[in-house]
Amino acid sequence: MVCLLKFSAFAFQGINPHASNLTPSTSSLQATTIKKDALGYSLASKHRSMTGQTKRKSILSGELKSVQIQEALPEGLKPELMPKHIAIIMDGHRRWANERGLTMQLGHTTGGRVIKERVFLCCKWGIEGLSVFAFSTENWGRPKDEVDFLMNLFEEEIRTDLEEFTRKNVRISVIGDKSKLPKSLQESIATAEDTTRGNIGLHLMMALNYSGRYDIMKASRSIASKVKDGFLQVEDINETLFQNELETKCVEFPNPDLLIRTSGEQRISNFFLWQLAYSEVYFPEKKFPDFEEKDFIEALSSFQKRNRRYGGNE
Amino acid sequence: MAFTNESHNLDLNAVTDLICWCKQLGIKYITLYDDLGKLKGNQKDLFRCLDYKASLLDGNNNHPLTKTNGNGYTRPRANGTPSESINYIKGLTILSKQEGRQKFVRDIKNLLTVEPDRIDIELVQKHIGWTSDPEMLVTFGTKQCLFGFPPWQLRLTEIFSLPSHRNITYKTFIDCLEKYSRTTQRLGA
Repeated sequence: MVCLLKFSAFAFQGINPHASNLTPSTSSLQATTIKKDALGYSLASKHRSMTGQTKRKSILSGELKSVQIQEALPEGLKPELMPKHIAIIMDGHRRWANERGLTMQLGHTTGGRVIKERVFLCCKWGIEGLSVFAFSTENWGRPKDEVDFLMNLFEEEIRTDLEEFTRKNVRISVIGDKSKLPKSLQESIATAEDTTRGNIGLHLMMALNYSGRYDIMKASRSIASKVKDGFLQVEDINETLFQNELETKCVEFPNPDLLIRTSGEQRISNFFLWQLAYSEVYFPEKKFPDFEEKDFIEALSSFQKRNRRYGGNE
Repeated sequence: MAFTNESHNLDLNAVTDLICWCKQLGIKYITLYDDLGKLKGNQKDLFRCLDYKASLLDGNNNHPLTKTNGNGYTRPRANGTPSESINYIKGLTILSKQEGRQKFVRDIKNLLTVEPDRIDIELVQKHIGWTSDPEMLVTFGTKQCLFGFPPWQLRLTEIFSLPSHRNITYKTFIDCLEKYSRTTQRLGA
C-alpha cells in the first residue's frame, strides 16, 4: 500500500516512470528501497551497498522534501561518502592519439565516447552533478582544423545524445561564453537546455569557452550593476551572494566535492577557480580516452578514503 | 605552500626548514597558508625559529641574536624578532582562509565605485592580484584539497601533494621541485 502511494506521488509530479533510472526493473527495486524523509516513514531497504540520488520536489501537501532512488554501487564504495558534484578536466586526447599514431580527431572522438559512459555511470550511482571542462577560452589558440573539429563534435554529440540523456533524466546546462560559438552549436545547446530543463536526474554542466577568471569577473560586474541600480546594498555582498552570481548558480551544489584531471597534469588551468576552493583534487596519470570505469571507481575510492578519515565533511 | 589538514599539528621546525630551503634555492616569494590561521597566530614563534635557523645557516656563532652556552650551543634570542633572518622573511607571506574568498569579496567591494562596464579581468587583477601568481603549490596533509587558498591566484599553478610537512626531508622537497621542473604548460594550445 505504501509502495503504491509512492508510485502515485511520482505520477502526480509528472516524473516519467519509464525514464531509464525508473525502468520497470528499477521500479521494482524502488518499491522496496525508496526512502522518503520529512514524512516520518521509510521503507525497508535491501541489505547491500546502495547510493542515493536525492531530488527535491514538492507535492500537493508540500511535505515531501526528497525522494531517494537507489542503485547498486561497486563493491567498496559507500553511498554516504559519494561526492554530490564531480568536476572533470578531460585532458590528454592529443597525446593519447600521438602515442598510438592516431589522428587528433580520433583522440577527441574517443574522449567523447568515454565521457558519455562516465555520465551514465554518474546517473547510475546517484551523483547529482557532473561538470566537464570541454573547451577553455585558451583553446581558441589551437590549430583551426582542430577547433573546427571540436565545435562540430560538440554539436553532433549534443544532438545525437539528447534523446538518451532525456531518457536517463539528465539535465544539460552549458556554461561559458556561448556567444563566440558557431551559431549552429548555439542552437543545439539551446535546444538541449530547453528540452532537458525539467529533468531531475544528473545535472551535466559542460563548460564551453569557459574561463574561471572571466566567470569571477562577470559575477563582479553583475554585482556592480545591481548595486548601481539599487537592487543590492554593498553591505549585502558576501561569499554566498557572490557565488550565486557565478555561472554555476544553475546547479544545486555549485562547488564540486571532487576534481579529477587526467593525463598527470596537476593544475586547474583556469577552470572553476572559485568553485574548487575546497574540492578534493585527484590527478590520475592516464590520458582521458583511457579513463575507464575502473579508473573512475579508483578516483571515487580515493575520495572516500580521504573523507572517511575526517568524518566525510570539511 | 599550503598546510591543508595539518593546521592543528604544525611543526614550526619543519616549516622553517622549508622556508630556508626555498630561500637557499633562490625562491623569491613564499606564501604559507593554513586555513585555520595557526601560522599567523604563531608568527612570533615562527620568526624566532626562523631566526635561529638563519643564524645556523649563516654560521654566525657570534651573532648577537644567539647566545652560546657553556657547550658552544647556540640559542635563539628570547624575543624572537627577526633581524639576521631578514633575508629569509623577505618575500614571505603568511595567509589563512580570511585571505581566500572572504578577502576577495572585501576587495571586490572596492570595485563597486567603478562603472560596471569598465570592470574587466585586468581591473579585477589590479585590485586583488598579487605581484605574481604562484607557479607551484605544495599541499601537505592526507586530504589533497586547496582548503580555501586564494582562488584567483591559482589559474596556472602546478599543484603537488605531500602526505605531511612533519619530518619532511630535503630530498622529498627537491623531488617535488624536480617534478615541477619537468612540467610543460601548453596554456590551452
